[in-house]
Amino acid sequence: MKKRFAIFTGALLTAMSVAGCAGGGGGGEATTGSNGGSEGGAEKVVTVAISSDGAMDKLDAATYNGPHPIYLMIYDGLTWDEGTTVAPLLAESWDISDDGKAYTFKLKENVKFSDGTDFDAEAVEFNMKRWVNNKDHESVTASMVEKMEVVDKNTIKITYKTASNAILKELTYPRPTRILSPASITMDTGDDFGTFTKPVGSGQWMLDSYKENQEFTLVPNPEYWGEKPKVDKIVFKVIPDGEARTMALQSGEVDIIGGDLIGKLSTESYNTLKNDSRFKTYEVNSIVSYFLAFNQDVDWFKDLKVRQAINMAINKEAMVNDLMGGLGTPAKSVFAPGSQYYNDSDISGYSYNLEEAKKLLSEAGLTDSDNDGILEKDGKPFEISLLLTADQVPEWKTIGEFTQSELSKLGIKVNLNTVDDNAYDDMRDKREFDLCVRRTSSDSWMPHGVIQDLFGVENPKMQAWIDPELVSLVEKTLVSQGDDIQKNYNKIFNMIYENAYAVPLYIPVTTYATSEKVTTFKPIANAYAAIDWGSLEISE
Amino acid sequence: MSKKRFVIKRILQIIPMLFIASILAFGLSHASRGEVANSVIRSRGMQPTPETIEAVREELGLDKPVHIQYFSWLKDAVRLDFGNSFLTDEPVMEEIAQRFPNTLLLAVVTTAFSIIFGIFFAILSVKYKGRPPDHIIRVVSTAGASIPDFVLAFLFLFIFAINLKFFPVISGSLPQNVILPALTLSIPLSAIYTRLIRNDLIDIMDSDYIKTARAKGLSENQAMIRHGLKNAVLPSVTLIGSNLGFLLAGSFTIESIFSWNGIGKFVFDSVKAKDLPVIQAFIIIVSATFILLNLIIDIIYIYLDPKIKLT
Repeated sequence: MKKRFAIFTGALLTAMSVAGCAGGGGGGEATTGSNGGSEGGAEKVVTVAISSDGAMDKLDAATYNGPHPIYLMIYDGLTWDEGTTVAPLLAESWDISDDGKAYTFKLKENVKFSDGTDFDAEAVEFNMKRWVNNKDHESVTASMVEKMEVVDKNTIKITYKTASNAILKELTYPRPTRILSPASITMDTGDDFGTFTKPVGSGQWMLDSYKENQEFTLVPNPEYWGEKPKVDKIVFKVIPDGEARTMALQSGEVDIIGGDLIGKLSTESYNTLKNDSRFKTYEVNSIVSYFLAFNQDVDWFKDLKVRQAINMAINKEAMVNDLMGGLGTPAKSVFAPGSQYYNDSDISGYSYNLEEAKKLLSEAGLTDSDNDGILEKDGKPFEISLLLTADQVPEWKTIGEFTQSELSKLGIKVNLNTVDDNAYDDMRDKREFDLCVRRTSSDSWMPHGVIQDLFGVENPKMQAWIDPELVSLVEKTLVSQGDDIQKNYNKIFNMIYENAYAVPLYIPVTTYATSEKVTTFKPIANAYAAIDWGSLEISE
Repeated sequence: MSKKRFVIKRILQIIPMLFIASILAFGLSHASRGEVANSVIRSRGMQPTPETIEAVREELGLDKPVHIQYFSWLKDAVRLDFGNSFLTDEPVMEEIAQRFPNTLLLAVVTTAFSIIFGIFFAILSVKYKGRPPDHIIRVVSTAGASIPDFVLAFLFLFIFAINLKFFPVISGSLPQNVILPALTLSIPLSAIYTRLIRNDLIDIMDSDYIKTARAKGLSENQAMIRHGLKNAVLPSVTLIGSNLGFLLAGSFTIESIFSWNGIGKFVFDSVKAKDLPVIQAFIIIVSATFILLNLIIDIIYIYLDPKIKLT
């Protein structure tokens, strides 16, 4: 159904581009009003298609409502995720105590929130009190705070309970670690949380208008401390359906579509738009990777040779180039280049080698004794299930089918088990699978949060493979300091690779398309940030 | 049995029916695969850990035995209080009430379109029975009844929004943009009504009272429209009513494609997130809608058609 749907719309879109439909695309944005404050000329308005409501009436910096990228536009945090490093934002610099627990942040001076109130150490403390030491946020180590001291107007010292080296990175998250204006909270609940009134931050953008489930608009924050954005207004229009977002771009109702956390663009639509001169398309390598996880309780996979053979039997180049239209990069490691601490200098990757894979399986004692095309060991045929869901990533269905055909060449019979999102989570966590298609993360949880989820806890839930030695290495890595951090991560990456604890597949590309009037457009690999909104520019 | 007693009896039957629906609503939503607290935490954008799962189970009252959860839910549900959504923490009734007018508008316009198209093409078909217009209508109505709704939706968007620019792609739930989604939803329904009414109308045009009408000197058109049509539409009333019920339950596909903020998409998202209070309220409301519509249809029948015997 979904597939036919895609093919149909693909055909339709192609037909349309061939016909060269009327309208001339883009540019049809008639705008009135002049609250943007641009000098003289017409107001520069850019319209973006977004898949879900902005939840602007609930966009409290300490809660989890609304799209991630919007938090980053309105609210600043102490730090900013630059991909491979953590950069200063509201904290100009910091000093970490020798035990790795106490952080003294020197805050940026002369920063105001968009309501004109001052940002200072008191404001940081006010915000922190709203979410630290709360069970809801316990997966964020920065939420476990021993004490906070306002040293002076622009200095705050925070002592954490654990010496996690992920704290600075966690302070880049869209939530709950961002800073809102204390004046936007009414203190009427008798606790430190109060009642949220409206989103007010010190970020580059501020809320202009909001119609629930229809659209919301952001305008530049007049009090912003940094560089002023180039456009006067960004209109986000809520369009839940992916193909309808593409059509809205074609009809000229929106200027920008795409982005995993804004409104994913299907491969079919992307290719249609790419071949249409009226639109510009953009690709950026994401930091997420797709991989196959083994169920380590299954006897077949206890043998390293079997795991290595499966790694060698899947032609990742063919998967990316022939099936995904080249929108991706074959992966060597479970972690993707571009994420912090990524290092593959000691990892050559398991390249495609069917003969070697067959040899490894025969060394592991597997033979096709009854000549039915399926290998056996001790009379048991090598037949396994592959769990996946196509709800989050439609491409996973293709990955499943390709894996099935690749492994059949080795003599392994794979039965696909395609289920819905909820069933997938449940079955994965209960290990009701033999092989499972999985992913890392496309955002600031890379790699510390993901490594812990996949290889770092003894608790089997969500873990890709539990090796007690690896678990203690991950634990050690997360609290190490200085150069040791990278050294330990290298050990982790190498250990996963050498033991073939997973089958890395590929790193997908995040795609965007814009109308002709968008002249400067910079996508960002981290899905949380998505787009560099400040440099966004349109022609008049 | 008098008409009044019949109506009272039917109204009293609603109570046990809704009770059964409530047990099904509760049982089914609890029986589906996956841990509720886990899905809720993920939908809130947080990371589930054993501690957060425990905290959320407690917060949502999921740690109590199912029958206790059911009775405490039922106690509030009879007062139309379906609790708060697990996701937004807003009262479920408010969430639904906010979206229902959109779904209602779409359902009513769709029903109106489908009846008008159905009657128009049926009359046309019967008037030109056995001739080209009739053949075309029969072929087109067979096709219309079998085209998937999303295909029609994209086709209409492509023609009327992208090429002709009569309507925007983004409907934004605005009343003036109801035409395209309503047209999409009404095509399969009109096709079915056309065929049903056509067949009934053909039978009726051979009946004695039409012959009488013709003998009185009425033209063929007058006989068909004044005397034939009412009786030909009657058998379709049940179907129109139950289709209205389906329309009132919302359509995820059409609402998503046309950016129409109705019940269908809301419930679909709630099912994915295992937002139990919303799912349960929805099942109860839809059941009640169907029961009421059927009741209204039955009442319409006994007043419209004196031949129906009450037993």
